[in-house]
Amino acid sequence: MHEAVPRRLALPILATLAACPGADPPFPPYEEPRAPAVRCPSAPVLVNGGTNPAPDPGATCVQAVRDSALPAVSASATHGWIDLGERTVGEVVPFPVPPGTASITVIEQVVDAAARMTIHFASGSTTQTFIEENAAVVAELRDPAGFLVFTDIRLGGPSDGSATPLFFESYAAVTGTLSYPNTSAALEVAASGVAAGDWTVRVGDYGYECALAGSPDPPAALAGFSCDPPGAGVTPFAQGRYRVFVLTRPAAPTGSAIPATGTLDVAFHLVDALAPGQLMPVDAASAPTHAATLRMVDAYAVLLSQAGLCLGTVTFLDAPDWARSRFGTGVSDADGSACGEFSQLLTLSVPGQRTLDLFLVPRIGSGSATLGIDGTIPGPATVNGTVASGAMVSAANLGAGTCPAAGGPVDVLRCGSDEVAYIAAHESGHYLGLYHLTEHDGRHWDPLTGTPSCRTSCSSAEVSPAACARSTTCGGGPNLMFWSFDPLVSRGYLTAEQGQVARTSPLVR
Amino acid sequence: MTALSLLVCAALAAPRPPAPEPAEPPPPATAAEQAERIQAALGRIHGSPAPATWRSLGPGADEALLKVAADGAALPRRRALALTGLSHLGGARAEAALTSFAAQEGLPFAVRAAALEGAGRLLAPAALHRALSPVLAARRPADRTVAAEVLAERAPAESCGAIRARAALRGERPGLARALSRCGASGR
Repeated sequence: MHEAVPRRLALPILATLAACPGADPPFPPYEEPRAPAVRCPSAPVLVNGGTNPAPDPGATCVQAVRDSALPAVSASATHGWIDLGERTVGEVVPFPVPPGTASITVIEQVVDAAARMTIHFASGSTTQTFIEENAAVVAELRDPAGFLVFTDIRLGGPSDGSATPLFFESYAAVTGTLSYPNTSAALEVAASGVAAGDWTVRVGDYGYECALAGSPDPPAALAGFSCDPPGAGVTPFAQGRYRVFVLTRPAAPTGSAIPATGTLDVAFHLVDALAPGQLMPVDAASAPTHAATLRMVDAYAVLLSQAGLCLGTVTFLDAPDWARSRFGTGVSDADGSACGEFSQLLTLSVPGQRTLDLFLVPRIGSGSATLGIDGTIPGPATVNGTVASGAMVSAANLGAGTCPAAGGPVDVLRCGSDEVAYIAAHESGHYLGLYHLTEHDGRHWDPLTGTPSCRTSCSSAEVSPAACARSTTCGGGPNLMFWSFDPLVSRGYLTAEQGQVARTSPLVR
Repeated sequence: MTALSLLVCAALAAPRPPAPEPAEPPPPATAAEQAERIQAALGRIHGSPAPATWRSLGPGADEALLKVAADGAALPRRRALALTGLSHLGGARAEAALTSFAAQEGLPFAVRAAALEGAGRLLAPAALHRALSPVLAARRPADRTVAAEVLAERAPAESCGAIRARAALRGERPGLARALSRCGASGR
């Protein structure tokens, strides 16, 4: 048992990020949409969680199937975790959704499937060939009326998925997560609750789509797409097996199904270099009372409060020595596979905990090029210990710079801990199901109509925060979930719809 | 594929060929636009800006990046990424800056590490060995680790002997394990 340090309440006054003295505000008179911050009833409790007990896997690539921290659905618990068991791709599996459900989440975890495939894509007179890692992705999801809520049997997705019932563009190996509702259209349809009755999920992955494309009667939606047969000893594409979970979140007792507020418990993993060459100013023992982490947690709480979220318990854990030796001078994000450094680091999230796990590392990628990255959108909420269970945040700036006095406005330009908090909140947004408002190319947008978008025409190059802080058609730059960060523009705003999506997560209690 | 790459090819459903690197955008038309684009490059949240992004920043970008890197009041990660940008722009000024930063004790770790890696990107093996081999004896163990890994990767013929000699010292081997592995793989 470790000490718990009560924290003072994050002050509502912090809900606005500091304008930068000396810099002309680049966006007024245009006003970005934003939701008001929730006033939290109590302060987060900061806890020293000690050292993470995860054993050293050596050279093994960890891909264990994990359970949810939620209670299993039973006679006494209408909502929670439903284990649909091990299933073969292509199987259509029913699952019950009780009345009074705010959201459903489907999680596939690989048991046995081809790791990668050689794919051919014919378009006109040209054929391209490439090797792709397999991705765990539901093939189809249908509601009790048989309506097709989601299908991955398609080539290409919408640039703007706000009118679709379910938006998904987060393909990842080994562990895949799908959540409903997450679009403007679905938020409206499910405003008073997700349709009750027997839903069905068709289990899938890229291998299954390869098998379909190679079948005697391939779906028209996969025209031009084919795969080489798997090599000897590799699981046939039509025989991939996944453990499938469904998580249901209860609706609020009155009003809108999605609760207006919620509480989130967070675990910060400190992945520092080994002594005597530590690179971070804190360890798990000092973090609950150290100025750098106190500031970070305060700023993080302020940013999340705009999503209607309050922090509950914030636990700091030291990574075990083997992990500090392996990751403590930086983590590469170059290998995005399940066995890459980043994905393997996420397996250190402690199974059985209902926490959002954030891994603070001294730097990410060559040249500290990456500020943060999360496992998948959304993450496999409440299922810790998988290759997608959490997010990684650069702590290069933790404790650096000059910060305002306690209770002062968030200053991402000068206060390093505030910048770390901003990136932690951005990655948390992804984990809770939020996409970027606009991608760097100005051609893809999140599935929410209430968030401003920014088009290619707003900039001569990649759409920058500053170029997207000018009007309703060139907007979004100040939002927390914009693709890029600019301390002179980024304000960490969130809209009401973004808050709704975040609060559908089973992590939120 | 992780969230990083999905955001680059966000329109894909079933697997598709990887998108080619986008064409280099035109240089900025005004100083204000250049400043915006430098900010955007330094503020990318997921993944490194493409080399073409740095190159497209236009004349004078090296000076602007150098100013950020040298600003002791700026946050370390921002300074580090400015050095990375400089290493992609190249040129005598970038080489001199990266060599100078790589040699400085007392810099924040992210800044010095970026200088070491940037030098590895820019300098020829012999020059890299001259510039970075003294860092094998740096005060901070993590600096020694990064220097050794850059040298083992980019100048193995010149540097693996020095890395092995350093690893023979008490307590040094764990931090140099990856560099030693690279030296082994290169046969040096």
